[in-house]
Amino acid sequence: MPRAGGPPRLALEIRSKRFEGREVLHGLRLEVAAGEAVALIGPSGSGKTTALTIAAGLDEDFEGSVTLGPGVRLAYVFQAPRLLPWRSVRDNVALALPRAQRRGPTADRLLAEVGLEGCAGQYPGELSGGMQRRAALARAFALDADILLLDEAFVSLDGSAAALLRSRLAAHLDERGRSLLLVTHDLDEALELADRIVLLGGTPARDLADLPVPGARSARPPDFGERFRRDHAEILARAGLHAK
Amino acid sequence: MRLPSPRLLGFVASLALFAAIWQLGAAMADSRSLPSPSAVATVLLREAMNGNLAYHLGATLGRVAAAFLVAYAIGAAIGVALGRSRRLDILFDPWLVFFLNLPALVTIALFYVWFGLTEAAALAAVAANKVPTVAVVLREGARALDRQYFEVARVNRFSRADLLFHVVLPQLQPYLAAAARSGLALIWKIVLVVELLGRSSGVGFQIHLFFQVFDVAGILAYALSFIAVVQFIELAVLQPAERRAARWRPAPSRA
Repeated sequence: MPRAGGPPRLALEIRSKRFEGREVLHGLRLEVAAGEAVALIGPSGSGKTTALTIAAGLDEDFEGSVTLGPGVRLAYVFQAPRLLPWRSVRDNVALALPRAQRRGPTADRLLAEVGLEGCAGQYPGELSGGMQRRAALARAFALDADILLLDEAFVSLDGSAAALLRSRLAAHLDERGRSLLLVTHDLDEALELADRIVLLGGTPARDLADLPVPGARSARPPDFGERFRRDHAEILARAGLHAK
Repeated sequence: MRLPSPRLLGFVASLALFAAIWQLGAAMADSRSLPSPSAVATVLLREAMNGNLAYHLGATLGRVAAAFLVAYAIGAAIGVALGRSRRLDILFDPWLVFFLNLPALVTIALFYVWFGLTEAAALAAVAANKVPTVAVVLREGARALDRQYFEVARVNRFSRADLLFHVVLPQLQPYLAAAARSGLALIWKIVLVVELLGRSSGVGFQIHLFFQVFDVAGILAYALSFIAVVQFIELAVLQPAERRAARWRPAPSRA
């Protein structure tokens, strides 16, 4: 697992974020280093998506700061797939590619990577919700960004499809030393992909803990999830993540 | 051999019924004021053979096209600007209401008085009549633009051209199509009036001439041929273009 030192690719500090006067986030700091995968996890309504949109620069109405390393580029996978419905699946992916590569085979290769070989010519409306999610992931791969921001990207996929996609994602990240900032409410998903887990909880939400996940992503023993839950039972409960 | 569709059969039957009633009425009236379909067809053939029909139809179509393009471009730009900016909308909405309610005849008379009986004045008058209606439709379109796709464009680093062609225009397409169809229908009627009042060519000019000698057959011959041309544009250009643009929509709404 490449866990490089040096300055973080992304440093996020949210001192306060309000929606119509109501404070939803109060104190969140997190950093993502090169090649590192960080999961931001918390119960629904804890402001995870909000934090992610702030990190992506899509929401600038907050107190705090977002700092990107020099030349760092982001890709973002929204909670809803948000494919352009009037463009074919292939065009949706191709539009995220550099202009010179749009007509080449890259888009088809990326679609094959997420198991959508046969669907390139179809419109997003002709795909199931899960297939649209996969296409959205292929589009994010097309950007070839330094950090991938993922908002609940595996929701509504059935178990095996989600597992397959997670392994494709892990391979994509490992191959290129890319970083990941993952928002999820699913601790198992976080444990499978992340090097660190930042817990978000309370009202307004703040970061409760920043827990390192031991070992490399690809080489964790089968029972390590249970151990992690046991070791951090108290803090996980405080974040509203009860043991299964 | 494939049988003709019920729709086509119905269309032909409808036309035949119309012609039959017309023929019957003309026979009963037996008057120069209501010529029979065959009398109109004779005039139509004569005008087509001597080249008058093509000349005047061409003149009118040219004016329709020029006025349409000008009105469409200006109206769309104004509409999108008003739809995107609340301040501009508050400021200029009363103007829009005013111009929407200004009778075409008034605009035409004023433009001819101000700028003379010129081609430019004629086209400007027609375009000025159409700009507000295009603007109103496109304002709705601009208001309906979905913010989530602008965020997609942003995170995927779309260029301005990408944003326009892949995010903005596809969303505006139904509104652009609606403005085009209603625009065509409105503009060709106004062009005839402009020609009647101050041009020496075009279908409107010809109808004016026939009117002065009470030649109803001539009036009907030109009117019918122009309706046919406009319908042809609708069926052969606008509808296929719209179908093409709506390919991506899920099947139920395609009907």
